[in-house]
Amino acid sequence: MTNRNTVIELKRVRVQRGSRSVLESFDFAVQSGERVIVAGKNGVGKTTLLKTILGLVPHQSGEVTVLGLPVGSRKWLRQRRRLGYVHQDGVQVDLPISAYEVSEIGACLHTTNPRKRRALVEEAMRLTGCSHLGGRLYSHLSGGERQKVSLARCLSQHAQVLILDEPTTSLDPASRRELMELLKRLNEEQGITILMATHDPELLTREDWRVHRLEDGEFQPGGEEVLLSLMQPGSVS
Amino acid sequence: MSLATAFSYPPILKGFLVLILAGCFFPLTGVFVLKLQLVPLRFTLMHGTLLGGAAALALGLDPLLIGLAINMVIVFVIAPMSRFSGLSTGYVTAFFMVLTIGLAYAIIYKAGVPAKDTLEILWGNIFALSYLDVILAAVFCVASLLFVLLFFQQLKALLFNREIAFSAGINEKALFRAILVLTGLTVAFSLKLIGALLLDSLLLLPAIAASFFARSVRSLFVLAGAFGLLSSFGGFMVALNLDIPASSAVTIVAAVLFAVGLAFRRRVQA
Repeated sequence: MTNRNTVIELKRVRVQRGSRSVLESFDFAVQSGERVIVAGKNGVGKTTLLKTILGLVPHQSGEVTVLGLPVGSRKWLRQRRRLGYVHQDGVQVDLPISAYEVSEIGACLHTTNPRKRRALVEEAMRLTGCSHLGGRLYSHLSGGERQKVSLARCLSQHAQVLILDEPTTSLDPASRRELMELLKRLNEEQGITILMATHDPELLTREDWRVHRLEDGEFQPGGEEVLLSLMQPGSVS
Repeated sequence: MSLATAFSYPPILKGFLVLILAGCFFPLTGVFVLKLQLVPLRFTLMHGTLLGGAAALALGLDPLLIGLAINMVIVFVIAPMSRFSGLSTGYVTAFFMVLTIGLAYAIIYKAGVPAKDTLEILWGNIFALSYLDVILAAVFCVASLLFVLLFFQQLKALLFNREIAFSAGINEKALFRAILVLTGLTVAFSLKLIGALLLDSLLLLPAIAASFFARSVRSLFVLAGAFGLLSSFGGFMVALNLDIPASSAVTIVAAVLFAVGLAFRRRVQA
């Protein structure tokens, strides 16, 4: 039976991409306020799992429920912005868009009042420590700066759940630590649930996150030995 | 010839007005065409308008209306056909691109459409416009401006990334379809009013030149309109003074602005 604190739930979900079955009879749940990492090698289906939860990839069978609403339903269509999505490796865009404008994307459906929208976006940028980046072009930002701006976009969207796909891939160790601290702070202070997919070995042994290892379309036992094996050079690409 | 003298001739005045309107507002559509990688679709729509023009000439109907109708069919058929066939939209677009031009040529040949009329479909004639054409152009330009202004925040999200726009709660599919419709209408209007040659110089070149200097999406649209206005006004003056076709003069001025912009951008970056 579904716990009323469950924000994401997948029951016997099957997802196929082309002729390949990526997830098969897949079960998964995330409770409100949790910090969860889905770990695994490239190509095991981490991104597919996240996109299925976001409604970007259709599931062939089973149930996907987000914040109590079936993904794809009319009610979910109206509520889907309560999930904030931070894209893999930043977003490569050939568009002269400023960091402020990217953060503003999250607020675009909240209010048509420009003053209220500005206040919302400025607060989100302050919370993620990127207020000083507002006038700079997004394409000129470093990987860490882009992630902060993306998180500000999610906050101005009033996201209750953050879905992050490989957020540390292009970050140096200092930026990676800073991002993880920021995520922890958002989780503890704002009560935002966080689900992150990664193959970054440094993140897999963090004790303050629940870590699942995805392989062959299902979760495997995630003991420390298995996690450490993932950290061996060449075990992840 | 002075401007005042030139404007005493109604065909020149009407042509000038439409050129200025097209210069200011068609580059807004050009921003979408460029940034959403719709250039192949724009060729297909151009061919669709040519097919409409050829069919209209053969049947004695209004080329603009038939061109618009064919473009709308193309816009609304591409996505379902892509889903149904499993082919990418690029392949389906290419299919329509060759089919429409093939059909247009067959109609022109079989119906015995005079070569001069056919060329007019291709190059347009800015000085052969009626007052109704001017009003239609004005209404269309205001409508496209309103579309950009009213949906600016959502359009910005769509230009940034479609998946992120979707996750932000935006109905990105409907918005994208609206952009396709706007592109189809712009191309059809352009061929009727200013011709295929001028379409490129007002749709694409100002938008590219604007992206050299823009520091935000808002400034991209504003600069695209400004470059378009400079191209159309400058081209009109050149055409008037050198007695060359307005379409080629506008294209040359737009190309010069593009080259100057490129050089200036390089100097700034160096």
